[in-house]
Amino acid sequence: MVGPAGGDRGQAFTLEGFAAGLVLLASLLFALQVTAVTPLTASTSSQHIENQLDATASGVLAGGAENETLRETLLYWNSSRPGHWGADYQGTYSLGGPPTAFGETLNRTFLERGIAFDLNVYYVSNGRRHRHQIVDFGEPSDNAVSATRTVALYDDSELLAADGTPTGTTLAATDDFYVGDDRSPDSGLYALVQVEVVAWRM
Amino acid sequence: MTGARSAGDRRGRTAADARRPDERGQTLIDYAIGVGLFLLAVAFVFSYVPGMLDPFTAEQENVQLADRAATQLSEHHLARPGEPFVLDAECTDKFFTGDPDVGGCPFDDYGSDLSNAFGADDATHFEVSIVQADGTVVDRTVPLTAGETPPSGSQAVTTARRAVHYRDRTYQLVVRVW
Repeated sequence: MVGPAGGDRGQAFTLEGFAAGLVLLASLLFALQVTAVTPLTASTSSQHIENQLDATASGVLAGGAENETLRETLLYWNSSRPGHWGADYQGTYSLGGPPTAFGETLNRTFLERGIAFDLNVYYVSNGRRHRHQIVDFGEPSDNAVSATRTVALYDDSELLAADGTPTGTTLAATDDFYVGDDRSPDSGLYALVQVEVVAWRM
Repeated sequence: MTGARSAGDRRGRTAADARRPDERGQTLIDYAIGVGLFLLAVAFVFSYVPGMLDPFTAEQENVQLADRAATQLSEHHLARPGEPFVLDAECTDKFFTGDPDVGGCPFDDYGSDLSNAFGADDATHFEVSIVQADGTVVDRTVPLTAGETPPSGSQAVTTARRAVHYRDRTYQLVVRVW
């Protein structure tokens, strides 16, 4: 009852107020540390965004397959000096989609809304699965999503010129297409490739 | 014991009261700073905690609803059978005009009653539209938009997007829920 001050006073000192404040702040700090909320923390709202990106990437591929622009982009290849027409960085496009209709769709859908994407082609050669990058925005983040679609390339598919018109050179007649040699020489099929779109928020 | 203590306390208090002006180890400023600091800390904690909990209290229900509605439209109701995200142009036009004669399309004049179409209550509002990249509504035979106009105020509106193929191009299907 009788305090050190000599009376039975119930009043706080500066030190006591300071200590009480510190306890409150410390508990807040503790709460911050255990929840660890950052903009990239997984939550239902970022799950929502991933779901949407995933569905959007599938939709872009489905649309590209429907109006043939996806195959056109795969055939937009310079066979005289092997490489994609107008590729700006080590044989890949790194500033946006290829200058084709499908590339523009990718730009409109993703790039203009601040979403980065990779466009990869997977093919099997000598029993091994290889990856060929067409669009390379760098390493995807942890929250990236991907969608794939299988596309058939035929012996009589013609490579496209820089302006997007057919060159008359068929896949069967060219030696240095990035997918490699004719997988099925006896049939009209040249190769089956898997096209993958990887998308993530920049 | 009680009697003795209270008698002693009473005596002590009387003595302390008499001595207080000399022996108090505290000034008004001392007290004001102490309590002020404490109140500041309390105020800071109270103002900070709601912001910390914000990511967990977003309107999750509408997020689910918008996502489900977008999936339902882009992969089933408006899509060609077996071809998700590739819209059947005829059915899409009928959906957005609210044409009661839906023919073989897998819905019943839904565009005129979106809440019912997505299995939501009447208090939930929807807007569905197919837009170009710059946000303008696609209008190739009929304007592809249905539902109400979203509020411009501070009310939270949840958006779900899909890329869909309509006629010969890829557009965006946007569903807004509030």
